[in-house]
Amino acid sequence: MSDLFDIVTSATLYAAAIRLALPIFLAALGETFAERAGLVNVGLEGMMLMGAFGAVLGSDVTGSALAGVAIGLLLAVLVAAVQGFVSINLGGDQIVCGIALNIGALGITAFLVRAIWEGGNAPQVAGFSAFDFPLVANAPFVGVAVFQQGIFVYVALVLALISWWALMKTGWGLRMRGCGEDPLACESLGIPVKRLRWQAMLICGACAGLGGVFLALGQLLTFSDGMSGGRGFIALAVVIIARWSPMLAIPSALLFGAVEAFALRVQSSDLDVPPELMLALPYVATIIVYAIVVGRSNPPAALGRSYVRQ
Amino acid sequence: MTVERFIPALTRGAVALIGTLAVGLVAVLAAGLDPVTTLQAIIDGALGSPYAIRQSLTEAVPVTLTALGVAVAFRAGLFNLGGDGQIYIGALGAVGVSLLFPELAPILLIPFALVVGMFGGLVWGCLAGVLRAKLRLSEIITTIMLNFIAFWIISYLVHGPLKDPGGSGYPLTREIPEAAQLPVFGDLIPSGAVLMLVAAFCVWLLLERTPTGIKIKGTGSSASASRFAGVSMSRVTILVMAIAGALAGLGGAVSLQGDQYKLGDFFSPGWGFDAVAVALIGRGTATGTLITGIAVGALRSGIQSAQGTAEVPSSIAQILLAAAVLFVIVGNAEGAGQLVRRSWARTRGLASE
Amino acid sequence: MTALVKMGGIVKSFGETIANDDVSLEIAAGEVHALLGENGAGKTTLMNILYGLTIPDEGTIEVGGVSVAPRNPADAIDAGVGMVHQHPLVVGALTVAENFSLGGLGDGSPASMLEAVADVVQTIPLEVDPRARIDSLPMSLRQRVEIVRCLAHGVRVLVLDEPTAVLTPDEVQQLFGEMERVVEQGRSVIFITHKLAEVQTIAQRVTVLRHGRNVGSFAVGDITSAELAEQMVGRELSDRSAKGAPRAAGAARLELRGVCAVGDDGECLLDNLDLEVCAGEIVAIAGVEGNGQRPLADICFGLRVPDSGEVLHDDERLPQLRDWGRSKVAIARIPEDRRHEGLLIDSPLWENLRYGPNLSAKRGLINRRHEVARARSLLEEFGVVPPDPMVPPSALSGGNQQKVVLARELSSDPDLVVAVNPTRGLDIGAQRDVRDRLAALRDAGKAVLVISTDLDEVIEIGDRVGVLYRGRLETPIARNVVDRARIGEAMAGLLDDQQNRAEA
Repeated sequence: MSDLFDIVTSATLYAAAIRLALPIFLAALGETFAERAGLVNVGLEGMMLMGAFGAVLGSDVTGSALAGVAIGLLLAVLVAAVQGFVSINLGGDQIVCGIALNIGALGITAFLVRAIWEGGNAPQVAGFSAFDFPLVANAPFVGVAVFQQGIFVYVALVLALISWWALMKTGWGLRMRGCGEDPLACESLGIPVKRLRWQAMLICGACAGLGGVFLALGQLLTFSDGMSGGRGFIALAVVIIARWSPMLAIPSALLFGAVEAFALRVQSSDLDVPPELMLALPYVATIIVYAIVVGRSNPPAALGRSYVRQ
Repeated sequence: MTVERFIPALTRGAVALIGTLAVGLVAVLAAGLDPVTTLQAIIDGALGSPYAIRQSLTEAVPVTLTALGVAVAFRAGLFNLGGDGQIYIGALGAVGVSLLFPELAPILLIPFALVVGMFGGLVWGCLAGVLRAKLRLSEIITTIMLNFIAFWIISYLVHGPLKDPGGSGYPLTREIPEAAQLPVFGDLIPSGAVLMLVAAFCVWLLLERTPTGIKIKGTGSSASASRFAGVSMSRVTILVMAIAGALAGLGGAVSLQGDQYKLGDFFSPGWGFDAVAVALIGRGTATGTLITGIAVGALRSGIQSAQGTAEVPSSIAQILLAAAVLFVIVGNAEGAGQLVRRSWARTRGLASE
Repeated sequence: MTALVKMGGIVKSFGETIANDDVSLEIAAGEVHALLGENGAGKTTLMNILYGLTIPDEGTIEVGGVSVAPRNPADAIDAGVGMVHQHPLVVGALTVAENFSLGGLGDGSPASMLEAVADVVQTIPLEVDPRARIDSLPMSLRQRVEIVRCLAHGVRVLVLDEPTAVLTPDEVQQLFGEMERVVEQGRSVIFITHKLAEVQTIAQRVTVLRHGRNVGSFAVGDITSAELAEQMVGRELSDRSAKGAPRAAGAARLELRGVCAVGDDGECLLDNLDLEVCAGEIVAIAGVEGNGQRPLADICFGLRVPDSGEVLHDDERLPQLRDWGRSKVAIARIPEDRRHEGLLIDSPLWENLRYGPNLSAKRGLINRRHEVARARSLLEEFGVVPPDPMVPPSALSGGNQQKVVLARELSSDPDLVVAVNPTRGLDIGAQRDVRDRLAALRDAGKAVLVISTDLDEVIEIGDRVGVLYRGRLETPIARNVVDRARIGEAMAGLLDDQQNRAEA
């Protein structure tokens, strides 16, 4: 028992929770834009995977993590563009398209890994390391828990604030939310529904891609097949749990980060718990939390419905 | 007039096929392979000998069975992305029965293991169905979560309690006794393939010839009309997820008893997602799904045996499936339909001038 | 006369159907111009083209002498055209102020939105809290919000698409007053309608569309209602066939006693409602949309359990729909929304003709050949064109779709018929067919309940007429002892007020 107590009270657990929550949060943030504009993007997982792959590729080829970020974002946005074209311009089934993109991303990344790298394995690459935040990094407990993270954590926090402001406090955000509630009414007001939905979808791709980039360059420093591990789908649940709010997505994602961090800690502790079962914990937690929250959620009215003008 | 009604469908099919092949060509070229010899090697590997045909069928069975279940759910408007989890639990059921009752006669043990496997998949599918029907949880999210949960449960079991103590250290169960293994007819037709055909026929019967099938299709095409007709959405939801799970579970059991004989944590190479693509390409019909499933099995098996000669990456199959699904949605899309209708009207106008 | 709007040679087809076939139209400045036609005549399509919501295949548009080709509503608004749709296109989940802001007033920040609304309301009166969510407002106010928003943009041409359908007679008069004020300022109003009386009351000129073609434009003073009707329908309208003399009604088939229904937010939807429908009579319930029609219909359909009170069918509790399937159901149910509730719009007709509580099969399997043959004979019996069991309802006209619903519901030989807005959206010929069929059912001794927002329909077919207002029902009384004006007052809730005053 005391072991368990040690785990729960250790500052490094919370540091890990933040780190593990980050990819999920970024993907959920992107999905929030898409869904607020009325688009369900089930292809989140595929976008994360492409982002992670691009990040490793860019970082490996140039030796610079920043180039990795650029390539990762580019690939994820490309996937988003396919989803955008099919669901916005052609009015195709959004969910089916997302599923196809997930399968395609799995295939393409696995294919390219074997085509590009000798031996069919991605190499270790340069990533982003953590740094001490000035002044507060050595504060007791919170220093380790919060202020010894990589740059991504602070980037994500800024992104969350900007997203909240843009979506909830500006005319642009109001119009985008309008597109998710009633695209026909918006169109009849002269609002360019297609353009706004495209913007939302590309933002979604970039955010999900960034999540993948961080997964690769902030955590594992390499790429492996299917490494997104269902985080894209957890992010779909986080969006619902956070009630389509960019700010509420932070605690919601942190919850899953904490569960995963806890599972990993227990797994590497002396506690006699089968490690595999601990690894199933985040997925069990997703279903449970989702089940508790969903009854009270109120999705955008036009979510997932295709809208093509005659 | 009747011919004209079919032309758009035929055009869509042709466009999807050509588009998919074009994507395949690009992938093959990108891998630095010669398209002609690669295609030759794949076809040879899939159909070139009785053994190749048997392998293709063996490979097709779990995907097709799972895809038939996905198709039933799809017709009710649900996406069963949980094929993999249901396959794993199904295989677990089959392996459990086979190892617990090795003394039983094959005539009893084989169906017993298959049925328990089916039941395992059914339970796993039902879970997502109940969560959807009673708590309104999206099955897209829950089935994926259940996949990972199933995977880690199996992983735990094959690393621990069920691990073969006499094995070479790999995380695998013991091999199931011969009494549980499915026979191959005439060294050519695996009995799983027969089960696959029977299942496809049952699904066809269900969807096209029973009141339940009309209800399933009805809820899929209009929730509001079904509510008005007095069809219980939640009952249909649970039913179709149970059917989908049972078929996937059967797929897992058949693969275990007819092909792999041991359960390990990489038992399914992604059949669950392949099955979703297969059902979508088959447009949710029993025949379409069966044909697509067999084709995909042949493709997978052809690529596998071609890997020996031409180094064809197996991920090409996934890329092709994804491309095919995309082309199929584009073909069905309202916006694309408008484009096609317009250009069709234009060409017809020109022809009559 | 200077033309403010000129549309010339407009052609628009959707697939095989031609919605507008070489339509030309001229609207003068400062007039109310009615656009008259049956449902499906192409009125809304023509106006959607003017408003940029629909792109025409051919044709030219001029506004104020300048040639325009609106690709979207933004272009049309720039050109000075505003449009208010039949079902107001305002975003329900947003507030009044946010909806104004969506239309381009203010910069989107909450403060600027409220300011902008305050500015607008100074010149165009609008009694509504700008912070109220749109979906908390009644239909008439939503429509008003949309009209005010259009006017605030300074549009020169205001298109109103069947605006009176959601209004009480009193609110219609207010709307007409507003329209007069608008044209006094030299702007124009295009008023889409299929009601002749409204044309005569408010419009200066009228253009009649029939089957997508312009049949002619007339000054309202130069043409009688009868002539207009003939233009609209394309043939002379015979007088309504004489009804069978009212007969003594038989035993009560459907009885509602003290029925109450409470909404999700605890609001009262139906308030202690008593109703009796007897064999051999048509009871018609009038009322403006949103006064409890939906819950009342759902309760009679067996889709909703009343929160208190009881519902009896032939003196037994009305079974809930999910209990059905065990015994044959003797209620025909004709829903309000045939496309979404009545039919599986993309499934073949033979499946549609089976899709209901009586769906069953011998030994669990469906004999397809038998079903298709049954479907064909039903389709022929009900005069559905084409009588092809394999085509989906989406390939049929509205009137034929409604016939399919009737065919399915009447094929089980019901003794009670419950219909909601059974003729909405149908052309006059199809309306006649449906009403005649309901009358024939009554004459055959069935009990018929019709809930309709169309006052004319209620008065035409109801043997007894009741009015639903805010969930309360005046007990239906025989049609020949109530007059139209009184029903209109009841729809507006005025009777209530008078009663209250009398009691006070």
